[in-house]
Amino acid sequence: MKFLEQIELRSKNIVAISNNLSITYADLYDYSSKFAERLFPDETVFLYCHNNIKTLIAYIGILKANSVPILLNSTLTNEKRKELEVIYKPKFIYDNGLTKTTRKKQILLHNDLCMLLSTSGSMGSSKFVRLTGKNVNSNALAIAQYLNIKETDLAITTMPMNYAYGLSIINSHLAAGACIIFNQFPVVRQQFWNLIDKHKVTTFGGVPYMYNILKRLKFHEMDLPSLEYITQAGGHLSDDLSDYLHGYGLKKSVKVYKMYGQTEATARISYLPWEMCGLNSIGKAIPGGKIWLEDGELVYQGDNVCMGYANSYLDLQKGDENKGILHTGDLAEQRKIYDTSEAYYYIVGRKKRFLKLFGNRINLDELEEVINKKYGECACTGNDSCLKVYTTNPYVLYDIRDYVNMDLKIHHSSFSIEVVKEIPYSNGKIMYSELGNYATI
Amino acid sequence: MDDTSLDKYKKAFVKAFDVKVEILSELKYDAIPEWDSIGHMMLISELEDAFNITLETNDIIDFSSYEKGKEIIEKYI
Repeated sequence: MKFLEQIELRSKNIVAISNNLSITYADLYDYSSKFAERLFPDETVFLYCHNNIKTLIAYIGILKANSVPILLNSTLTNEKRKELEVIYKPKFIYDNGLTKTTRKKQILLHNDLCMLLSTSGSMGSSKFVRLTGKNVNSNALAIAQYLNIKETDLAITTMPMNYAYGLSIINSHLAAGACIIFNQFPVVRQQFWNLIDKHKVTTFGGVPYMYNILKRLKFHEMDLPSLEYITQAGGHLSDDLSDYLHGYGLKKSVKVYKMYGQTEATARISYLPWEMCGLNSIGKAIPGGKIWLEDGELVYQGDNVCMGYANSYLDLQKGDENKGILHTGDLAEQRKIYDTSEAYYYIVGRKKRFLKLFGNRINLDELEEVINKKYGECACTGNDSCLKVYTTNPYVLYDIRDYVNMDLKIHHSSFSIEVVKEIPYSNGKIMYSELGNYATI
Repeated sequence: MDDTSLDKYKKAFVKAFDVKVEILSELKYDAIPEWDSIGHMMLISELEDAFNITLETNDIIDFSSYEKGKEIIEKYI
């Protein structure tokens, strides 16, 4: 992979800072090479991601060894971890320390397979996206190009590394020879702002929810002279928040990039040039990519489109099923921009039924199936601020509630569960808009 | 903090985190899964509604525990 080559080239630059420790690209090269010697090629490695230097070294080491990292959230419960181990049979597990499992090699992993990313972040779904080295590399380089990431840039982490957007920030900064501050604090902690101040951070990214918090924290009144540009992705911005970010950029002379993507495209699909930040648009395709519409659905073509999904270990033998083309499931429009020759894309809806809560995708049909299996007949609906689950059985109400809250890690204020007399159907399909009329209370 | 205010203060925690009153005095940021950045902002908005106040940014990011929060809220009431 090209960004691995970068690690050799830029030996003297600082690559990562964390807890008063900093390492150069040369250090990262040495440490990750040593780490790689402990692994075997063509095996899967569970990588529980923490925002620290150890995880970075392990990540690069696994890639160097030609092993396949499966990036996982470090907050997953033991039960979930065991479940995933049964399904994916990792040879090694890294969680701030390396453990070898007793599993024997059973299949030959596909030659192009480089890593696996989950589409649902913290929820511990067993469905992963299969990425190639070309996917990861091309997306990192495209992002570094349109954001014009410089060797002197200093990014601070604001998301878990197993989340596609979070990982893309790390990969694109490695590709540019820049520096990353591995930070464990959220924006509502003083320590986060101290790090920005101390290290003169030039950039960070965030999902809409994080910018909502920043707005409430009066981000526009903070004095952050080192900040040069910020990025947003991971969900649709409300017009209000879109305007706020535009206003912030103007007031503070900070470049604001609104972006769009999917884990299936490694991370990034499109970006809006910062000069056009007044628009609430996802902009245009990233360098090397193409966007078009098919029956209103946004379709993307590029080197960063994944090979397909994996639902089990056996799927890791599979080859490329997408051939570089991704049907996103998002409905979009292209609009001419007044006074320019440009036309930008706008997301106007979704073809598939899913929600985005705090940047994490929830597929309503999949969730319905899971709850159906565990707790009987149900219907899942809602919007990007609240998930609604309807059940016909009042005795499982609290079980579903605990499942959604504990296993899916959805905050209790962001979902509601209601008991209904029956789930209304028409032609075999649930009539979601009617559910409210069937409430028992 | 007088009894009425303390009662409001406790209720805001219970509402934001869905926890029992008994564990409140020990509560710190990140000590329970519910008190993450999302929960933090829920708590702040519950407190603002309960006391009819608006917290300053410094106080929001300084609000690190149940006890620390008491000192902060007292400045506003």
